[in-house]
Amino acid sequence: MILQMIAIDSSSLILMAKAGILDKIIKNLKRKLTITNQIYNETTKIEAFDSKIIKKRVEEKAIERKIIRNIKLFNKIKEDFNLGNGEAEAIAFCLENETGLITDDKKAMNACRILRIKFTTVPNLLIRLYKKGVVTKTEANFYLRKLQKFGRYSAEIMEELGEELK
Amino acid sequence: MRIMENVLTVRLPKEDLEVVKQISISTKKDKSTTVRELVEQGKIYFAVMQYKEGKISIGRAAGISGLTLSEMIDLLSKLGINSNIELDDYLEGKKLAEEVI
Repeated sequence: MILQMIAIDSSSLILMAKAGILDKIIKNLKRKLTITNQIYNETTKIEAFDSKIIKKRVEEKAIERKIIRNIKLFNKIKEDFNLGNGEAEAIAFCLENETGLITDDKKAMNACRILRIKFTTVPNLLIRLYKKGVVTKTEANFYLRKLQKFGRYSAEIMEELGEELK
Repeated sequence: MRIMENVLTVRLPKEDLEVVKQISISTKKDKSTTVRELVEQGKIYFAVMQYKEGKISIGRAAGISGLTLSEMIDLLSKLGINSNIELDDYLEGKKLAEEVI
């Protein structure tokens, strides 16, 4: 069976790895988690824990690595929306392949809205893991604290997440 | 190691030159090294502020600062700078999350 894809940008991928939730999300996604070359390069640049786990999952093919075809489109997206290379490639990839995007960046989300790309965030996926019974309330709260440390979500979002974990 | 082969002449106010001199004395580094280090730190500050003001993405901020994205995430966390995403953004993300998990 060929799985549909879902793209992810560099900061959300690093966030998942730093929060220790990457494997749980990969295992429970109904779509193949997919990154582009720029995202691979951005997320595996240094010898940090998050970088090592991402590299390993790509080697194991748990994360698919793909290329984008339209470099002109990538450059236009990057400049039009003030994005980094990885974010612009992820969005170009979504347009080329009609996939959704996992992102926790406001600028990338706004680009998605304008370009009619569906998006979601790492906390959204954590809540789904909890609602599906993959993680317990205690585990979900543990991951949420780690996500908050690195994702730096607003008090309003944290309050909503707290409500959803009740 | 980065090769320092480019030369740029910049006019600075006397006060700034004095600051460079003082920093170079206290850090025991020559003035060129001091100016280079201040430019490096200025790049990071500029990128963080642009991100904080919602003008650029976190990826672009990392690119401007010369830090990796992982380092930029750690720095923003250390500085206590919140993500720009709002409750509406989170709520909009529910639909796709329900489709994929």
